[in-house]
Order: sequence, then structure tokens, then C-alpha cells
Amino acid sequence: MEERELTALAAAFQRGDEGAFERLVEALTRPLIAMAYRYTGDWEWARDLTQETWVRVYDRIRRYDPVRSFRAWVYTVHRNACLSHLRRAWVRYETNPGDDALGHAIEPAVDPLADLERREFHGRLLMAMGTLSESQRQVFAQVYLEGVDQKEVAQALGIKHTTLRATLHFARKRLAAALREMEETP
Amino acid sequence: MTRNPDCEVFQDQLDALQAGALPEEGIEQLRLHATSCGDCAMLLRLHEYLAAQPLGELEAAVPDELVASVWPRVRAEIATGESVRLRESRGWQGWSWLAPAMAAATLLLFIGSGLMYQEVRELRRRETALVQQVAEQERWLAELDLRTSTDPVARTAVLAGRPTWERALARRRSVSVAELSRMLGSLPATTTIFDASDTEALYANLPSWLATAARNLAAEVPVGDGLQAGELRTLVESLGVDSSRRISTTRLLALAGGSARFDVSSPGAL
Repeated sequence: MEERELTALAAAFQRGDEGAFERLVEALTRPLIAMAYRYTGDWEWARDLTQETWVRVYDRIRRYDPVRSFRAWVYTVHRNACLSHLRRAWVRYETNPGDDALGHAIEPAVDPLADLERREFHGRLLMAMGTLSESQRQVFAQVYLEGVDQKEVAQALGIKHTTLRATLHFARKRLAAALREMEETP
Repeated sequence: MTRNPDCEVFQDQLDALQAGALPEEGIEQLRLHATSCGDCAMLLRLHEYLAAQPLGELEAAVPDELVASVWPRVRAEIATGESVRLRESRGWQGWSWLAPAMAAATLLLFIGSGLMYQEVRELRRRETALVQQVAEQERWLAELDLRTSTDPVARTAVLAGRPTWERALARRRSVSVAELSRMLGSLPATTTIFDASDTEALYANLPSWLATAARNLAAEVPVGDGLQAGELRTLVESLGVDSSRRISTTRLLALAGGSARFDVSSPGAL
């Protein structure tokens, strides 16, 4: 759905058109679940977080400024919900590193071993994100987990592209160090 | 890691790889370095993992039934105002003690403030009573000063509304003979101070040092109708007692209430 249509539906919903809200949910739920999956590595969690995001949007629709992109606004709400989810997981991981803090379910896969390895790595990566600073985490999540163009992220955050690249550089180094430490810890 | 020149080259190449600007030859060099450096190997693995599945591809992989299940759940949650998710409550799970703790604290505060309010109210009530007592004492002291004043207007003002002359006496511990004389003089001369029986008892019990004066008085003053203020004043002045001599008002009042119950056989008794 075009950005213009999304904004028009959001404006209609602000005026009280509940049907417009349902159409927004239909239009954006799939990309939101995909995005949440990058943050969680789990479809069920991704669905729950998407549901949580839509309820937040419903409650806060009056705060939305139709001048801005509705998609960008919803993604920001969703990103915050996903990062909050990760923060809670990091706290549980700090308390008991032996637990599967993200609550991953085993899903059927074509290559179970490869899939298991991928999911384990994903879980460790998300845990390692807990070692990043808030700015590093925001940049890393948008660029790598959400696949947003680096220049767009820099523009949205009001920083130079070179600054963003440097932030990503140090974020990757820190993540790699944390991941190595996790692998070496029995 | 960055102190190793090879690692720095690796970082540059990784950035180029990220930007899709690294030729095949550079990718081979990158992999070669990764085999000898654990940190760079992890960086490469991280990059490959993140690049493995772009978000667009992931969208297509989202199960349809999962997408279809979102709207009914959102609608139900909005309608009921409650979450229909079966998963454990994530946000406040560790804070389940908070609600009862806050309720208990609120209750304690409520009870505590109620008790404090009662105590404050009781203190204020006592304060009000004390203020009234102090005001009464001050008024009484002021009246006492005025009663001993020689200003007849002020004295009259003080005595106005007083039921009896006994009450006027009762406000002082003692009174001098001169003051007693003045007080009797301020009363109407016909005011009865002692009735007939009290007068007879008084005369019968007069001490010897007063006996002569009393007998002289009794000869002149009939006791059948008791003693009036004017007669008593004459009696007091004719006794020839030192005018500064203090007389207990308690004893005077007892005498006025019934001299038969009062021993006046010695000067000290008065």
C-alpha cells in the first residue's frame, strides 16, 4: 500500500473510522511480523509483539502527526516494543545465563541442524546486543535487523553518514567480542 | 584487533562488502584472514548471518495463518481492554508484589493520618480550653485589681452583675480590715449580712478582746433582724483593730455562712 494511502487511512482513523484501523492492520502486519522476527528469532513472539504494537497504535493514534510518514511512525512504535522485549530478555539472561531468555520454540526446518545453529546464533546475537550503548543499538537494529538504508537512518537520527558508519563499526566490534565470549563460556 | 594491520584491512574490506563494493578477490582475502583471527572470523560470521536473509525475503516467509491471527486478537484486546495472549505477563511479572505493597502502604498512610488528625484535633481542643482558662484568669486578675481600686466607677463596674457580696470576697485570699470596711461601705446599708440566728451565735462566741466593743454595739443595735452592711461596717470600725490587719476571706465566708460552725475565739481565727 502506498504511503499516501496509509496516511489517509490513519487520518480517517483519527477521525473515528474504526474500519480504517482494520485496513491499516491488514496492510502492515506482515512486514511488522517480519521485523519483529529479526528481533526475536521466534514467530510466536513476533506475532505477539506485532499485536502489542497495534494496540499501542490504537491507544496513541491521536499523537500521530499526519505530516509524517505513518509507516515510519508505526515502525518506530514497533521498534520500541521489540527493543523493550529484548531488554527484558537481557535482564533475564543476566540473572540466569543458562536459560533460553528469548523463549525460543523449535520449529520444523528443512535442515534441522543448520536451522538450530542459525537460531542459536541469532539468540546469542540478540543477547550480545545488550552490551551495546543505546545509540549503537538503535543504529545497529535499524540497519541490520530492519534493513533500513544507512543514509535514511542517519537522516532520521540527524547525524552524518560517516558518524553512523563509525557507530556501526564499533557496534560490530563490540558484538563480535561479546559473541566470542559467549561461545567460549560453557 | 585494530592494532593488527591485517585486521584494519579486514575492517575496510568488510565495510566494502557491506556496501556490495568488494570484488571476488577481496572476499577471498577476507576469508583467508578470518581463518587466522578469531575476532575477525566472528565479524565475518556476523556479517554473513545478517546479510543471509534480507527483510524482504523474510516478509514472504511469514506464515499466512500468523498474519491472519493478528487482527482478531488485536480487536479482542481492544474490545476487552485486556490482553488475550496466553504467554506469561512479561512486563510486570517481577513486580507482582508492588500492587499489594502499595495498597498496604496507602492503608497505613490513611490510618496514620487519621490517628494524627485525631491527636491534632484533641490538642487543638485542649489548646482552646487553655486559652479560655487563661483569658478567664486574666479577666479575673483585672477585676481583682479594679476591686481594690479606689475608683468607685471602676469598682461599681466590676461588681455589676455579681450575685452576692460573698462572691466578691471569694475572689481574694484575704482582706484587710480597711478593705473590708470599704467593701461593706460599697454595699447598700440595708443589705443583710448575718441573719438573726447567726448574729446571736456571733455575739455568743466573740472573744474576750472584742467583747466590750460588741456589748456596746449590741446595746445600740438590735439583733432581731440580724446585722446589715451598714451596722456591720460600724461594728468593724468601732473595734479599734489595726486597719492593715489581714483577715482570711475563707474564714469570713464561713462566718457569714454560719458563725456557729466557726471558732472565732482568738484573734488568729480571723
